[in-house]
Amino acid sequence: MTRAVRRVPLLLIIAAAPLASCGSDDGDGSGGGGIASLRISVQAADPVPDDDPIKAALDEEVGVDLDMITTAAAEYYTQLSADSAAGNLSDLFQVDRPRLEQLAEQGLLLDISDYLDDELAAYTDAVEPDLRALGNIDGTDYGVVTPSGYNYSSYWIRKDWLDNLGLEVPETTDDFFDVAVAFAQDDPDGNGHDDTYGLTGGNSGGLWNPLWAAFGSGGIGPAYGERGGAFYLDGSELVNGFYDPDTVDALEYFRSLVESGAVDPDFMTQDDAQAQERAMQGMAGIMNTTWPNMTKPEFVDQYKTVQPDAEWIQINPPSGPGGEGAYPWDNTATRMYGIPRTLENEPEKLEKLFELIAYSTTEEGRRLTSFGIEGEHYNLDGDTVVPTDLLDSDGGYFWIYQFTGRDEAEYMRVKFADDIDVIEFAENQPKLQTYNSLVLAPEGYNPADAGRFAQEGIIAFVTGQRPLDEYDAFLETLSSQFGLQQFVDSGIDQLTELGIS
Amino acid sequence: MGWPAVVTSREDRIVNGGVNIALILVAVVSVFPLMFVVSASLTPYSEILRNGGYVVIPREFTFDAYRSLFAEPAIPRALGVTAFITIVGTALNMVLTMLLAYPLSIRNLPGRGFILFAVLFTMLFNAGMIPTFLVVQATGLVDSIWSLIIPNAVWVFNLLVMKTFFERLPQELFESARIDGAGEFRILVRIVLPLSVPVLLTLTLFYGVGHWNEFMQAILYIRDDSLYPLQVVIHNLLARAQSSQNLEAAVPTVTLQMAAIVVAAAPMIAVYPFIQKHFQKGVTLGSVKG
Repeated sequence: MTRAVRRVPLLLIIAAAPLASCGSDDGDGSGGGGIASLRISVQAADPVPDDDPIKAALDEEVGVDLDMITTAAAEYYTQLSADSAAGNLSDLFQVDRPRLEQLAEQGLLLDISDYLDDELAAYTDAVEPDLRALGNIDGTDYGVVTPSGYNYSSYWIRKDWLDNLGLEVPETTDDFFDVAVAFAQDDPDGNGHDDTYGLTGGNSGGLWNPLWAAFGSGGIGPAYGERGGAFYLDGSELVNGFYDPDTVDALEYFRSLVESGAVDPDFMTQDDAQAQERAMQGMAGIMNTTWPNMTKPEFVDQYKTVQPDAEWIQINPPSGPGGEGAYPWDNTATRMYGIPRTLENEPEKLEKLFELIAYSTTEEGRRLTSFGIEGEHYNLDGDTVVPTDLLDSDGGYFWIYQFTGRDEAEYMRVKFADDIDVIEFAENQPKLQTYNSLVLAPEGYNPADAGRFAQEGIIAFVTGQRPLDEYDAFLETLSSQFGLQQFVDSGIDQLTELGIS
Repeated sequence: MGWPAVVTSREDRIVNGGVNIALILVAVVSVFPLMFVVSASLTPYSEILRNGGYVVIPREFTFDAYRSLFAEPAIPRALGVTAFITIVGTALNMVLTMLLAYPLSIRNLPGRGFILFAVLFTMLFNAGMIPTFLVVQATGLVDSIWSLIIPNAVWVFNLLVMKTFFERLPQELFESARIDGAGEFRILVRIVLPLSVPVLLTLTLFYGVGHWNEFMQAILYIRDDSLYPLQVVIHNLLARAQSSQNLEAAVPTVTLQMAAIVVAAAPMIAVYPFIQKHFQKGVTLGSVKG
């Protein structure tokens, strides 16, 4: 028996050997026949059809064989970790700034600085240096940045409710308060039931977004400070929203709105989609939402069925003691792509990848990746793009090929001609530039712990569970115990270094 | 154990009644969400909207949601992928598990202790996501449908359940078969397996449900979206409903989302009642000594 035991491991090894050796040559990605195969990973839940006309056109134009891999956001970075651990990164892959930094530190990324004036010149021309800062880690360029598009958000209000109650569109924070309270108390839908609220919103905290600026603050970022507050310029000084005294005034206003009963009481627990649904069902008369949520046929059908009289209109954010309301707007919070360093050893492939990026910045490339194939998805009338029905039905995923962005104005005009007014209204909302996407967490700072403490604290203030007199004590704990001070100091240093001041 | 046989006093009946009511409540609470999902998938969308998004017993029925679900080319294809990994995967699982469980159930097998230790070790100390990925990649399985079948070809827990079940079979049968000249394969096929129907069905169900619900491995190992199993495709469909910045894609309606959930869950729910009888036996018999 003991002799047999000793033999077993040997047997196992012998049995496993052929398994290990087979197939290890697979998956290097270079197709036969001299055409480079480029694998590209993007975060997207949209299905890409098998006979994808955009891929076919790009393949032919650039002379490559594209392999697009789309993964839903929730799983994307799991795949990316596996790929990077296995040394099998895609030839171009979407990445965010913290992970870009991590991969750069591990030496896995291609330094694109030397190519910017040459192979990538078209990209360098198309994307402003301010935006390219997103792809720059410690002075070295790694990321290919896609410029962000329009702002889609604005406040939407029930015009029919305003009319029913004889109210005007609110222009100041005081008007806004009164309208919200009237919507909650004065039975705006005239059904004789106390079943309405003024303002609704989800746990992202988006319902307050444009109000911060009305009190002179830039806010504390999404989800009640979960990401450590917003960085912005207060005058000429870079500050973080948590340390701006005006933030307390804004919080005081939110608290009084909540206390008045004008705010949907589930605003901290429901998600944005649930809040939207409630508004559509006639439970609330004001919300901050994006225009696609109000113009897509599936949503319009929804509210027209339940609330045939509903007339939603966009309004500008109210102005307050601190000035006009404005949307916190981080224009570097956008898509970005990394290139693996291993491509240095495959110059032909790298050449093709650069050609692909350059092509996507040309007018022809932009048209292709925005509107598809001429004659099928659109026709040209002089210089104007006229979409066909096919673009509407099949064009939903084309954006995954927009590596260097698109001409947003033309895109909107062509694809959403009927909604152009609401689109421009949202885009023309006042914006307050924030810089969070450029800030990397310093070592030793635990964003998850600090974020949770901040979030819980702020929610307690907004809901009135904790008096605002205690804000300083809260900030003290957040700064020292949870290291927010360290994060903010480091953030301001990083931003100053990037030339923001 | 010293209790009087079948005397039912009034108190007993009250207690029984209470227990029954409590159990009925629990059953209702468990069935309700399922019923809501099924109802929502069968109700016309306009009807749902008029009722504030909640319909428990629909007044009108329509199969529109299912029709448009199957009109998406990805769904039938994913159903095919999932059916393949469920059928082929489970068959392979069962064969391999049996072939390993039977010898390990024989007490005087040489090296049994070591093999058992090696097997158990993998259950207690698992390599983790990335190292496992590296092995799968090195074996050339990435982006192949076999990556959803081979890496988990034997689940140690199921193996132990089966081994324990085999051990509890009357050994005399095997001995007499051996005396009559039967080889081990013949004993396994002719004697062990026919006596082990409950455990075989139970483990088939375990493996089958596991494959049917395949998600994480597919996310890790599969890049070609034509090879995605059903759960991943449905997840993507629902994920589209949540991204509010999405300009283009139509957001699936509640009815469509619910129909997707029914399609994903129904086959497994349908199988349970048929196996349940064996299922209880299989689980208890296997686990008592394990």
